[in-house]
Amino acid sequence: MEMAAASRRASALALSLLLSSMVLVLLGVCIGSTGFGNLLNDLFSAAPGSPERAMAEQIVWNIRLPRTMGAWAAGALLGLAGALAQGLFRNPLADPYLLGSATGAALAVALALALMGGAAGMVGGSAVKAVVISVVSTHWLVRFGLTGAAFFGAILGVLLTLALARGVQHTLRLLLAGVVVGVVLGAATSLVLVFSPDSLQAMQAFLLGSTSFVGWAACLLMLAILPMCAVAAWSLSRTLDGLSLGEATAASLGLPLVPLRAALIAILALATGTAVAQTGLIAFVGLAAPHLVRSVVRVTHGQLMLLASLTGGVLLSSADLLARWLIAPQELPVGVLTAVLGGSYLLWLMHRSGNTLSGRVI
Amino acid sequence: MQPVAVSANSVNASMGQTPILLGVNASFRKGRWTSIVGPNGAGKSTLLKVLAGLLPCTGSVSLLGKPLHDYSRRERAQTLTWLGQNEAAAEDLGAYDIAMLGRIPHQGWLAPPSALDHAAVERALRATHAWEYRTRPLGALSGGERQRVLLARALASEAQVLLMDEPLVNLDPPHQADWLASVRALVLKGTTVVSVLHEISMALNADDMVIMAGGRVTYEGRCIDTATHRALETVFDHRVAVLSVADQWIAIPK
Repeated sequence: MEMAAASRRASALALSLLLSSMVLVLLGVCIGSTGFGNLLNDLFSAAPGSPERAMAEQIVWNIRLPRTMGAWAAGALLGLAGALAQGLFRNPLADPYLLGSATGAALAVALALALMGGAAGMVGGSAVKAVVISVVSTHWLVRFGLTGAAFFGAILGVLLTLALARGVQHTLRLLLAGVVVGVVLGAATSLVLVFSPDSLQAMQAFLLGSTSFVGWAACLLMLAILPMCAVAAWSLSRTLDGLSLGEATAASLGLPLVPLRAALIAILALATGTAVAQTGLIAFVGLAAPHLVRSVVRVTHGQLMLLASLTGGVLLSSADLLARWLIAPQELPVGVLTAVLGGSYLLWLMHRSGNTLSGRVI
Repeated sequence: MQPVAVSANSVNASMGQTPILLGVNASFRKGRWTSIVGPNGAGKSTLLKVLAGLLPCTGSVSLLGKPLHDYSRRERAQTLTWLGQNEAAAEDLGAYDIAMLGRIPHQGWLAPPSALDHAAVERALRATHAWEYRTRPLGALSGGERQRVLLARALASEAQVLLMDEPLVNLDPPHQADWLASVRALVLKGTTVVSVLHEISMALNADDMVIMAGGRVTYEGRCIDTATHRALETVFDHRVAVLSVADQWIAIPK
């Protein structure tokens, strides 16, 4: 009976997260620098075909809707990747960027910005020169180049970690290799920026994370990758449950650990790489989402990953709304908000763990 | 005499560069409980891991008359269960979920647990007296309660061969007695049980005993034999004495 109650609680959480997601998407369409009232007025009162109505449709359809849905999808990918990373590394403080994907993406974006800035200068007078080289640029050449660079950088960062760890057999070696790759690629990124100071501002936007440049292409890409990653991760979740008993026990259960771990890392890299490529480095969503789920229900990894994914979507959508609303018509970088909120949550978590620990000692 | 369930033949194994097992020969008979004892660092846990196929070795290991490496992972896990020493476990998973992990070898890749799986898990949790806290997460359990859940995980597999490394860690005397009763019941049903135990008095309750020292098997015999008791005293440098108290063999430190 209690098992059924736990299952009902998980279902209720999933349902409330889905409803929250829908409400947030609706709010996301309404909130922006143009204001809610003005936009509604233009959308429903202006004559069909009038410039006001066309502008309002443009704002809702081409800017706010893809951005809001994209923020949800990026958060969902990071939430899923966070739950996966914490299960894979058996560490509740593991986050999706642990395997070098974040620093790999950052280095690749820094290199791309430096190279594109140079290219624009050399072409001189061409359309490329007119493009402001920035991660918030919507010009297809720049967007494709930066997004592609971030994605491949993230994947290369993970591959470098795997090469250093000599495969996926040893969790601790993987973690250490991830830390080393993070430090080395971080230093390389700084070096690139020293030699390319023009890229600093654009790079800062990438490092802080932003959802403001997510268009339909990025949104649809993330919405397509998300179910693929979620289904694949869920189908392998029993491995994570088995791994929670230790590697030797998991192997004794007949689980082929090496290929399964490789598959889980591939899913982690794909989910993280896709999100990072579209939104930059958004902090703490991947770390906090699984913890938030655990604070409500205790579930197996399969359910945890799906619930953490929904929670990540809700978290990033909420942060995106706040970023747009707090100092409107200006906008805060969403990554700053997630870092402040996530950091506070982490501090609270440490405080709470400390209390529990002292309680146990007493 | 019962046929051999598991055997190690001229087995050598190392941990990194350090050799741990040096040409070990040992056999464990079907439907009997064998305890492995010996001083610290004798290679007892390593032998158990080798028998479970969890550690590479030279020599050969056979399971129910067939080389261990001829079994698929799944077949091996269905036939043989290993319970590790100080087994880690996710604090978040509930006791029932942990016990259900023992059924992984019997489940299809994406198939939900069957009625048979649920029945096996309930039997195992009841046998270890963990049924009453089945919904609680492992992180909320005491050391002894946690050990009983991990034991239930091993029992839930209902394998023919059960290898247990220090299964009595954290268990109080009444639950040690329950464990003993569970093992006896399993053996009566034909299960082969091999356990590494440092509580020598508990180990003397087994049917057979394998004594190890310095990476080698120094003695194999029945627990009730006087020669076994003498071998036990010898391997511990005569710092234990095996005595009969109330029709039971016990080992006391000297």
